[in-house]
Amino acid sequence: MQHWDDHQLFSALCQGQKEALSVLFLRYHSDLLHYGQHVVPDRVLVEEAIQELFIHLLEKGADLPEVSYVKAYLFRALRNRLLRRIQREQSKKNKELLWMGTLKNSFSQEDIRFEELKDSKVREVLLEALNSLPWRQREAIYLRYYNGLNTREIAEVMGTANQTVLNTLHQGLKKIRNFQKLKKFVGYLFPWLLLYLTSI
Amino acid sequence: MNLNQEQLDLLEKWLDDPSFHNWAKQTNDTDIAHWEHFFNLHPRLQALGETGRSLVIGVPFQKVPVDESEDRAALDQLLQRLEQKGGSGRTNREARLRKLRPGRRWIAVASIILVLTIGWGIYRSEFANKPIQLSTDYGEQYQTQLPDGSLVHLNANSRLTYYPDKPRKVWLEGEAFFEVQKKAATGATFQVITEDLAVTVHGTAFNVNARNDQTKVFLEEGKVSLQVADPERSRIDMQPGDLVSYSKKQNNLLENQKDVSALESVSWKDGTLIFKETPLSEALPEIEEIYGIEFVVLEEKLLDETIGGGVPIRDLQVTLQTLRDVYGLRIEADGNRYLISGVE
Repeated sequence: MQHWDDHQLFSALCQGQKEALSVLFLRYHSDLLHYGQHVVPDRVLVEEAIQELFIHLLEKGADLPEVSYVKAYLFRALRNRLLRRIQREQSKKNKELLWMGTLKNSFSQEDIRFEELKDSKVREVLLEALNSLPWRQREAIYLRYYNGLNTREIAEVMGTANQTVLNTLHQGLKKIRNFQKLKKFVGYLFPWLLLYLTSI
Repeated sequence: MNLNQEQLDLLEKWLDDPSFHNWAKQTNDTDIAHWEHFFNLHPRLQALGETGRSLVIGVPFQKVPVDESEDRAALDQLLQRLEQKGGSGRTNREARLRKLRPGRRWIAVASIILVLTIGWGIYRSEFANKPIQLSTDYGEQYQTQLPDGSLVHLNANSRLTYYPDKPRKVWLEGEAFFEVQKKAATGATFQVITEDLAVTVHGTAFNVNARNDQTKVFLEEGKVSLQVADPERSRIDMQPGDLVSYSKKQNNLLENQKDVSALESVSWKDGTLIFKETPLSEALPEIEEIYGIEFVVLEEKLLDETIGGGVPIRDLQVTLQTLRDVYGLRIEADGNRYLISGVE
């Protein structure tokens, strides 16, 4: 079963086969855990939600309509579970549970490929830009370039149209680029400004 | 500013095209040349091209290394939870199977017949179903997507035929590499048929070479099964890395030639043929097929000489020059024939 593709495993899982559950779980557990923590920064809660999701598929999967992208489906299902959970908690006025939509710094230094950006200043600027993006743009960029989902899969996860995803990605990348340009400009201007101010 | 509809449509098309990705990442000379040419012809689209390039390149993320023991521990925990629930899964599901009431059953049957009739009518009128043929000339390669989303990379001097209503059944002469769009959920298989055999695909990437009176199938990843043209022989299930060749003419089957690297079998996709201690008797026919030329070897013992390494196959003159300079073959042109008189 190790060699089965996602669709074969997924339909076997939905038919109630435990072995398929194990293989598919091991294949996507770490991706789901990482993604989940981008939605809600609470590892224990995310872990619990992933397990519940797979148990749900094993027991109730037979009723599911056909799924076009398995990985995207799993991401969406986890996302919905977590967002529902947040709504429930917030209505109980449990303000401790944060949602990434309200939280900054969802990316950290270790998420950036080192070989491409050796200069730590440049890395910092990129991180700052990423973390300053609106939640939807951040999520689209994360799904596309961190998880390698294509735009159709992202559309499935985020529940929008393919072209909307393209636009969101485009806006996000443009903002990052502008942010980098601005920082570079300020960095270039700063010494002269200092010189000017001290000369007055 | 948001992208307008025309821009979005174009971007969507480009991003589905692997050659566009190659251009954006500057990885394949042919594709780079193709797109540079395209943007020279359409300077208006240059800026959009850059947008597309930034969408391809994106952000250089680093994936957190996977800790398998963590995954295992989480799985064990999950299985334990299942154990405690006591495997109630099956009974739950059976209980939920709904039975249609008799009255509804007739409505269901009637609507199925209606849908089938309408469907058949549309099918007959819309798709008169002429076969579609994709073909490449000597020294030319072509990459495209079939209507079902599967990717085909057609090598030189090859033909691929299919019917619009059945894009997952194709006939091949020559050589092609397939990346099949998975449709496992519907159980629809993908079939490649050659003179010698039929390849049935259960997903993913493989190479079919149907030249020189035999068909060679190399499986890069996934699962395929073969039925050779001789009905006496049973079906062959291939594993990734397997190479199987069959000749209908000679009724000769070579199964599971292991240890063939993916590089050798599918290197032509990237514009180079890779040989590993291959005798000229095998290497030359491959080059002949690509350009439609003929090599004449003046001394028979030359055929046993081996070559190892790459031979570029985008341009005949470059190919010949490589054979001369790198492999030391003495080659003279004689019309469409090339005389090989020795090895230095």
